[in-house]
Amino acid sequence: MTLSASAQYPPQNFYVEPFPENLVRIFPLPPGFVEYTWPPIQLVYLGFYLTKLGCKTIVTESHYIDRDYIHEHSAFYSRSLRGYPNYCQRIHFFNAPFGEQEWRAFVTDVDHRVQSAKSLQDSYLGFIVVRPLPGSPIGRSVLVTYGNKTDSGLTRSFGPVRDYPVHLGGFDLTVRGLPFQQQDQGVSACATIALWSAIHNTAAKENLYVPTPAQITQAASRYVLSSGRSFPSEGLNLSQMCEGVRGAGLEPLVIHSVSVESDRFQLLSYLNSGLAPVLGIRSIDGGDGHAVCAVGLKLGNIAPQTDPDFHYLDAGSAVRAVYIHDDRLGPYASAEIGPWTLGNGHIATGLLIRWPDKDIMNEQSVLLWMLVPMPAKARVPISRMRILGLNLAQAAGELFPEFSKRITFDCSYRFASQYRRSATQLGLSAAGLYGLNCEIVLSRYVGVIELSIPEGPLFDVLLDATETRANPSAVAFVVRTEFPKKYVAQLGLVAKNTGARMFI
Amino acid sequence: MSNETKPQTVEATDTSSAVSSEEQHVRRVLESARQTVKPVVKREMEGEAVSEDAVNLRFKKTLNDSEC
Repeated sequence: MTLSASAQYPPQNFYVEPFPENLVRIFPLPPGFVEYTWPPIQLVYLGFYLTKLGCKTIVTESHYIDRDYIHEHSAFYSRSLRGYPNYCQRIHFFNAPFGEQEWRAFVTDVDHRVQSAKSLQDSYLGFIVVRPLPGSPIGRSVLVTYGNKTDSGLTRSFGPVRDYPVHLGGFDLTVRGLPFQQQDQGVSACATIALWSAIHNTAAKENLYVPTPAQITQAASRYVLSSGRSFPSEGLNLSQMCEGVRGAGLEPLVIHSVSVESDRFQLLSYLNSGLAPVLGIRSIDGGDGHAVCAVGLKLGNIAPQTDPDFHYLDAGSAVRAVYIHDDRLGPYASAEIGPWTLGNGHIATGLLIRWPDKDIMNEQSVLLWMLVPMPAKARVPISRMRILGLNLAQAAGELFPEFSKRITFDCSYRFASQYRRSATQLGLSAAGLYGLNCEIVLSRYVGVIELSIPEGPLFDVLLDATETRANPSAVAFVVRTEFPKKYVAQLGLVAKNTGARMFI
Repeated sequence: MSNETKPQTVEATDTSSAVSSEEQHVRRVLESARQTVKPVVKREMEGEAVSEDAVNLRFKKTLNDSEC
C-alpha cells in the first residue's frame, strides 16, 4: 500500500454548449436521500428567466475560486465530515449562438481580438457560480435585468444595479446587475442573503469591503443570539440584521410599514437612489418571517388626485410591483404591491409574489418593515423629505394654480458632486450655475426633492442630508426648465421662508 | 476675505425688516399647505405598525416551509 500525498494543481477546462431546454439537466441529482424537492425551484426559475432573456449558449469554467463560497467553506464546510472542495464551477450565459470552434477562435484569433471581445460583450447575460453543495448549488450569480419596458408598456427601473467585471478566457467582460444566491442553510438563511444583496451596491458606493454571507451571519450573531446557533444558520431577527449592517460599515434604517402610500413612495425613493431595501414580510398564513431584497420597480402612470383638498399627485402611486431577489425563487422576481386588509381591519401593504408564468408560487404576504443599509452620512430619511415635499407641492399648487392637480414630487439621495456635475443640463443662468457650483456648501449626499409637472421638472430642493430632525435642512432651491419666469419672484419667497437660497 | 465670512442665507433668516404683502401671502399659503397635509403626515409618521412582534420574529423561511 502507498499513502497518497498528491497536491497537484487542478486542471481548467472550458465547455461550450447550446443553452439546454431544461437547465436542470446539467445539475446532477444529489446522491442519497433528498430531504427536499428536487430540482430546487431556483434552478427551474433560472432556466425560465434565462429563456426569457433569449439565452442561446453557455460556457462553463470547470474551476473557479469564488470569494463568497471560499469564506463559507472556511467558516463551515471545511469542518464537515464530507470533503467539500474549496472551488466552484462558473457558468456564463450568452444570447448569441456559438460553439466550441467559435469559442476557440474568439480566444486565439489575435487579428480579430477587438471584434471578438465586442461580440462576447454584446451577447453576455451574466454568470452563475455553481457551488459543490449538492442541495444548494446556486452561489453568487449576477445576471442582467429585464428590459426597460414590460409587454404591457409599463416601465421597469433597477436603481441598485451596477457593473460587475468578469474575466473570462482572457476577455474583460462586464455584467450590470445585483448579485443573487440561494440560501445554503449552513452559513446563511434568507435574512443573510437578502442583506448580502442589499449591501452590495451601497458598500461599493462608499468604497467599503463587501462582506460575504458568512461574515454577515457572524457579525449579525456576534452580540445577539436570541436562540439557536449561528452555524448552521437558523435565521436572523431584525436586531441581528441591523447588527449585520453595522458590521459592514453602514447604518441600518428601519422603516415599519404603516401605510401603502408611504411604503410605495419610500420604495420608489430608496430604489431610485440606488439603495436596496431588505423587505421583512410574512405570509398571510402566518409562520416564520421571510426576508427578500428589493432591486427594482414596475411603474405605471401616477394616479389622479381624488381628494379635492389636495393639489399634488403622489408619485408613489405609480409603483405597481417591486422586483425582488427572493432566495427561495430567484433574481428579479415580480411582487405586486397593493392594499391587504388584515383580520383586525388594519390595511397593510400586501405583496403578491408571482411565479413568472404559472400560478404555483403565488404567495400573498404582507410587508412588516423595510431595512435600508444606509451610508453613514445620509441621515435625513426619505420619510422626512416626503413631509417637506408634500408641503411644497401643496403650496405650489395653491400659489401657481396652473400646477394644481398636476404637480408631483420625487425624493432621492444624490452625491453632491454628481448633482453639481449635472447642473450644466439644468438650464441655469451663468450666475446660477456659478452660484450652485462655487458659492454654496453641500453635504456629501444631498437629499433632492424634485417637483415636476408632466411637461418636465419645475424646481429642485436640495437638503443637507447630515441634518437632524430638530433643524431645518433645506439648503437650496434650483429652478428648472419648465418653471415659468413670471413666478420666479414668488418661488424666491418660498425659498426664503424655507431657509434656503435660490439658484435661477 | 470679507466675502468668505458673510452669511449666505441672511435673507432667509432676516425677519426684522418689513414684510411685503406678497411675502405675507406666501407665508399664508405655506401655513395653509402645512395644515392641509398634516393628517397625511400624522398618519404616515405616527401610524400603527402592521405587526407588534415584527422585531422579534425570526426571518428564516425556506421554500420548503412554503410547500408545507
